[in-house]
Amino acid sequence: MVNRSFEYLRPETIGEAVEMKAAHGTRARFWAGGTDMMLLWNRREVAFDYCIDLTYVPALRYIECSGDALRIGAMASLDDLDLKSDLNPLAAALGHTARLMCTKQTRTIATVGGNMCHASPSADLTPPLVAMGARCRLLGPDGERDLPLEDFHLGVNETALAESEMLTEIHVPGVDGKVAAHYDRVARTVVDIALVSSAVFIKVNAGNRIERAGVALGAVAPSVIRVTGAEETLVGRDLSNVNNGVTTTAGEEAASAARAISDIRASKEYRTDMVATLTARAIRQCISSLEGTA
Amino acid sequence: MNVLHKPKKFKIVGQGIPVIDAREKVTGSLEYGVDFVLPRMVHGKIKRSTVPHARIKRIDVTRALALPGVLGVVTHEDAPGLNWMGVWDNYRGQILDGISRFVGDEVAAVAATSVEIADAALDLIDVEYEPLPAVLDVEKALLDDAPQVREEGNVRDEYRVVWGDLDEGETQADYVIDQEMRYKAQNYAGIGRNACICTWDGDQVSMWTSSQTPSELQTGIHQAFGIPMSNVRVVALPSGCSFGLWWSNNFMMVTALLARKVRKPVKIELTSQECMAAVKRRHIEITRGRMGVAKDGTLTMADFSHLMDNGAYGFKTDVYFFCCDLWGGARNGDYRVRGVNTNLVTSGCMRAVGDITMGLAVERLADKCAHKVNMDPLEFRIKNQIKSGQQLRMQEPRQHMKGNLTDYIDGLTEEQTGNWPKMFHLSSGSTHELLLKGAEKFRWHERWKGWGVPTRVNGSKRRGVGVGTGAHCCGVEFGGNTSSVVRLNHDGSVNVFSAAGRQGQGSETTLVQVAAEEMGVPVEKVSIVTGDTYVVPWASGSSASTTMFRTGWATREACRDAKTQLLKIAAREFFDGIDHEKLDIEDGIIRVADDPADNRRIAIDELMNVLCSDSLSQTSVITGRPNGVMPPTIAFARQWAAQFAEVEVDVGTGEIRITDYLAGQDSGTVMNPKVLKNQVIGGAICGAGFVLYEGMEFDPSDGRVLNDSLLDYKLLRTGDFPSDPEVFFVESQDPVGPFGARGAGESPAAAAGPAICQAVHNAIGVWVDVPMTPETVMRAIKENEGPKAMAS
Repeated sequence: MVNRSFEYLRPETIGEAVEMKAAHGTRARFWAGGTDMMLLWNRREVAFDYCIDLTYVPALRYIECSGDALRIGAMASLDDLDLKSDLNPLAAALGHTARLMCTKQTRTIATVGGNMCHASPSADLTPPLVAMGARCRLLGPDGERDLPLEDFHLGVNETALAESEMLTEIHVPGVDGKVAAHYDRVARTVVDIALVSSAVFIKVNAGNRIERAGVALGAVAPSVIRVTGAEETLVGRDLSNVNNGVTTTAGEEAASAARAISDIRASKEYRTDMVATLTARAIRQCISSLEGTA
Repeated sequence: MNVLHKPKKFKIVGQGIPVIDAREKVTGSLEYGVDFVLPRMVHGKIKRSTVPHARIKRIDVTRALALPGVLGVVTHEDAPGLNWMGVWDNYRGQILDGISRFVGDEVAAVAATSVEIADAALDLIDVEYEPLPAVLDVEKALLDDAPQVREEGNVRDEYRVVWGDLDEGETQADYVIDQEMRYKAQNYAGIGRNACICTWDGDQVSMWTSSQTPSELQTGIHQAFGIPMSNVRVVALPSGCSFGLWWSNNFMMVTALLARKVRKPVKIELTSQECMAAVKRRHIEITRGRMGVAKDGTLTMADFSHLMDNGAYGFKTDVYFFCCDLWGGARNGDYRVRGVNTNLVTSGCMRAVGDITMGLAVERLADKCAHKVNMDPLEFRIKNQIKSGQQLRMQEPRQHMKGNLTDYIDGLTEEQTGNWPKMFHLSSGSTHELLLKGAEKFRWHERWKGWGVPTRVNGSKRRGVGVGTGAHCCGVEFGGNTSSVVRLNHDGSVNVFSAAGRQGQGSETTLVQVAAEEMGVPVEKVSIVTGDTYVVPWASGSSASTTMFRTGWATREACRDAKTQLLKIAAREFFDGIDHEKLDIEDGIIRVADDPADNRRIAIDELMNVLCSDSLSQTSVITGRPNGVMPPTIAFARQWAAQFAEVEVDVGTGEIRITDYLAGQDSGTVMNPKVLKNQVIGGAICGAGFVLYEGMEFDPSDGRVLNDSLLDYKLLRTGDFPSDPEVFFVESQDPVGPFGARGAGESPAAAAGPAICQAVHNAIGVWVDVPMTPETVMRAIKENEGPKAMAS
């Protein structure tokens, strides 16, 4: 009651980790980087009897391209994302995103998986990953399942993880070829969470026609919002045909999809305005990257 | 790092020696309040009010006392009529008087064998409140029918500085411009926390805590508990950044109460939330003003009315705001300041009090006047700001408890005031040379394109430059007394005893430099005690930019006294009775000054051996203390800052980035250029943070602090400021300060805001309210229909 304590468990394989979770159910929590978990524990917002530390499971820590997919192990750190920026254009966009987050010190501890499982509406990594069409691999005693990241996040601090499941990987399929992504946000100081953010992903075919587009917004709803209206505005166009009128229209689509609220960080009106600005800018950034590689 | 300073005629003064505790700081061995422990120590926690204003109807501690490990609880029933008062009324009130005056106010405290048990026991204290109406708005608190926060009422007497005649000033003006500025409260937001450790044995109270004001705390304990000052030992530990936060506070007094109750050493360690929401903050302030300007750029009148909230336990009436002196060239002036209490967490002096707020309003209104007559802001400042030797506008600084300054001066003898500088006239320095030098270094005339004209436009990014000025005092007399004692040991080493804070401002190092220079010994031979009231003489502490000017003066005078004693003996014993004033000490060797042919030499330690020999029957060591009266510094000394900024504003999002920075400082002789550079940049970042992001948010329903952590209280980090800001010094020697030095820490904070605000205005063509958050910038652009080409 007065002194809170827990039993510390240290698996070395994914199998051991899943077994431990199955054995203790809701009395156990996974510990990834712990940068959010530590705060929750100190504020007494979580309680658990078993802490399963995933730090020593090497099989969970990787960032690689395999086949047509970019694969990120759940225990890859935010700093790993930064260091792997030159892997491909999407890794570059995620590396850029990571560098906007917290500080170098915290980035070496915090993990991609932990960030996804905390399910914060203002998480920086979620919009670019959702825009790219990222999927999550979940593993439980009954086997593995795979679902889109946007379905993984159900609400504020709420995910689709079942009681005995763990997140093992984030992967972005179908991203070979000419792709670009860009994430931007408005924040107050260099170390801050996003007040509002937007991410854009664009894939073009050999003829420089946009064949896939993703637009996702952060910090304007309980979960990341995907803006299909903006995506439709882009798909099928020639790169050279994406003018200011198109980016403005896509920005307006994004603004109308946003469900921003007012809080001490920013007002609803400001957030909504910025969604349009940031989305239009991110599209232009993607276009100029693609034109550079064309 | 680019420190533009060349030491001149001194040996130690002006040397950029490393701070004396650098090694301890870097290796983590320096002990702060939170690190300090005592044997047998137990732990305390404070029960804090959940309501903004209430009388405690009933408080039941039975369940808490029943928890195993709980050693004792104190409530208002243990604390009848325990009053104390902080320096300059930063705090005034009772310890646990049964009334809650803000959400977070102390209601009770528990001592237990562990922090966890003490924490758990807090929930077992049952408090029944009788709610009282609360006032959470500074303007509403002024009204006659407002709920009264204090027995004395909410509203303090007005403090006023007046010269000339406003009506005449209005007649002389070609334009009169008015303006209102509102400021959110700035949080001290020191990164470190604090703890207080207290023992109470018999009638002997000892306390260890991070503090910039050890003597104030000693007095506070003496006042509250009626213990002789000789039995109160306060050991002020280093605080790390403090900025005014760690003056004495009720949490220290509550620790003493608990120690008395359980008769064991008690430590109360505050959480960062408590530090940010329950101790102290800057005032919420509102400045209304009018300025009149003639077509030739002469300010004909300055008419300002300033309101500041004292929160629950602040009691300030007579803040000295030095912007009225800075802009003293205005022909007619009337500055009025009022303090008023609210049911919000206590507010008090924070770095550059008044000059960072009211000073910003004066600078902005002056800028608008300069714009109106189309004059360069730099020229406008040179034309309208005070110059060295001119009369100060603040003629009657007063302190309501101790009378006014003119009465005090009139009561002194001529012997006491004989070589004082001219009272109520500026003794040295001004912004003039800073502005001229700064303009050259910053290439101001090349970069400034006119009012509201950006220096560069690149898509949505607009750059602009700005210049701002700031002033502040160099310590305040009346309650701001200071002293210093030095002891010369057998081996020629020196101990300095001066009450000062160790808040990262480097005073422990610069005071050692003062002593070493005056005594003529190497720095390594001087050691200083700053915090232990058993040995340091009473001094108000490191506040109001006091330490270098006033404590430095006292330290030099104490050294002079010791040196005179020493040289008199030397003259008699070794120099054939020569006039001792002809002797001097260099590197610890006494010799005849200005006579190279005279090769007589004696080292201090040799002389001290003679002094100590029984046959001469003299004392064991030499002790020095200041002789004479230090002139009242408010009546002549000021510190000056002029700063130049370039900003880049994204007119699509409202984000502001500082891209270039130059800070000029005139604090007289520079004691240590590295220390002073730190002070200047630290001040500039404090001022920049205040106008860009910082502001406390209070729940409109009960006044609780909503952003009580760094998640939503946004401080500038080094990454938010140019990585290599340039600092330059102008050294206008002060006639009184030690070796010509004056105060330094606060004017840099006052100059930053005006420079950055003006740069933003020049970048985007509109004035933006502070803090200039991205959203506020966008709103200002929209409302003023600023740059039409709102880049998307």
